Amino acid sequence: MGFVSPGLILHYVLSRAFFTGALMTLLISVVALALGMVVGLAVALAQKLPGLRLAAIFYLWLFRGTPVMFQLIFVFSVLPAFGLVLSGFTCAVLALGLNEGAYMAEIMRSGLEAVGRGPVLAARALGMRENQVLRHVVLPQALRIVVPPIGNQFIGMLKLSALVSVIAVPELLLIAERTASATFRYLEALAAAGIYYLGLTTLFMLVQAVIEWRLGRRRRPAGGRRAAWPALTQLLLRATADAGRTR
Amino acid sequence: MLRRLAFLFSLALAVPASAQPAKPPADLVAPGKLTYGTAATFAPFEYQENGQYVGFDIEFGAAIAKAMGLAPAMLDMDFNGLIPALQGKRVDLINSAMYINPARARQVDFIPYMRIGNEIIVRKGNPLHIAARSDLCGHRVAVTLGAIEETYARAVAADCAKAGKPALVILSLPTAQDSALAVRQGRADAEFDSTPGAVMLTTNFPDAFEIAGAPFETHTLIGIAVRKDDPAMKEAIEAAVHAVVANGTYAALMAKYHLPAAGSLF
Repeated sequence: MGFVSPGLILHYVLSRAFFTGALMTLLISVVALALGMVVGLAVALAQKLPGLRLAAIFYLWLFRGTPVMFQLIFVFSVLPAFGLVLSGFTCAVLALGLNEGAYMAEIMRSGLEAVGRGPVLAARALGMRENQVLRHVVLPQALRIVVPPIGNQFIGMLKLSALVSVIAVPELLLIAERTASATFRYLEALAAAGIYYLGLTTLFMLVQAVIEWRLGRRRRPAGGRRAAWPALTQLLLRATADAGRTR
Repeated sequence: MLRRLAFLFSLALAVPASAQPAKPPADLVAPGKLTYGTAATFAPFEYQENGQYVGFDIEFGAAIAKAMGLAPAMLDMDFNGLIPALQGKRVDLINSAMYINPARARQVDFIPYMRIGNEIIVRKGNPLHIAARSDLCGHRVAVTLGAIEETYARAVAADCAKAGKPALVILSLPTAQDSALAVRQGRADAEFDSTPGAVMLTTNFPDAFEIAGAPFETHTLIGIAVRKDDPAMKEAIEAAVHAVVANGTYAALMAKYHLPAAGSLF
């Protein structure tokens, strides 16, 4: 198989083709996830409404019940038979986003349902309208709960986007495969793609950590970064105390 | 180890008894079988019809295995994965109408068996009036990922750039069928395919596709590929190919799959 060439890996990592491929991967992931979050929130809220409940459940059943690859190829190859020819990128974002929406709906639902009746009733007693209750009471608490699973989905989406290589969207994996099939340096080309994937997932993990830290900070009464550890112990103590009280 | 010894022993018994012209090499992926990799998406060489694998290469591969006293075992995979699979010793050889070019010849050894050209396939009516590869600048061409057509497309893209013309967009898809579908659905303006494949496609779907302009790169050879460090396999395959040519099977298969006799190397 020849020798491993670290110089060639570096050359690929720094090449324009791989960089634009990584940008494409990032763009597909971010847009598909954004679509998934919007769809997910809508489906989660729809499940609360009697008129839309069945439609929401049908959506979950359809999109969780078939493979993403199937949905991707369906959008790419079958929709044109009905006169709808979307670009590869649009197909990718649509299929990944709609699939993501189904999973996101369950995450959103778990967040919404985790907010107890008490705060909602208290807010209503204060004279808040339903949308105000949602905006000021339910969502801030639900958001804190859904951030870790959404971070999970985001990292999952980044890797899922590699599937898009089968519909000729020039994302990271397809660039690596094209390069490898032209030069036969499979190890180097795939290693370069792997470095980008790891770099992007590391970035996402950091972003998730920052978001969690900022959401958590608002909850703590006083103290900045210096007080983070005492605050954390306090938080844990309070959590265990709460658990003891409710059970 | 024990299995290999047992295999060698059985081989020692089998070969003199059947007196095959081509002695199979000892180091096979699966004992008693000639395992070949193919991307069965390249009609009329290897494709599926009614759930069965058919095509020139499929029958040619079976004839070669028979000449070696082995059973053929096919491994259908993406074209792009064939050379890595051979190098990684997952298959004994590649039998997938693989075009011989210098880049591939540096990776594997070839036993050439036919000469075929290539065609530009466009939608019926040729709406963009494509007559040659240079007319494709500024348009989209669909090719199979890792196939020779992708190399040709890259060369056209480089020529477009050199001439200061609009860029050629290359769509690299997993199979030749995906490329044909892309042309039919209007995602691509043209597809590169082998001459026999193009003839078959336009014969089967005369209302959807047509061949634009004249064939190009008409002197490309296709060959069976073996590992570079495996001269015993290469010799065995060469002997078996000659046996298959000598007993008339090669010519009969070319006629069966309507391949032009001018492409014969024997």
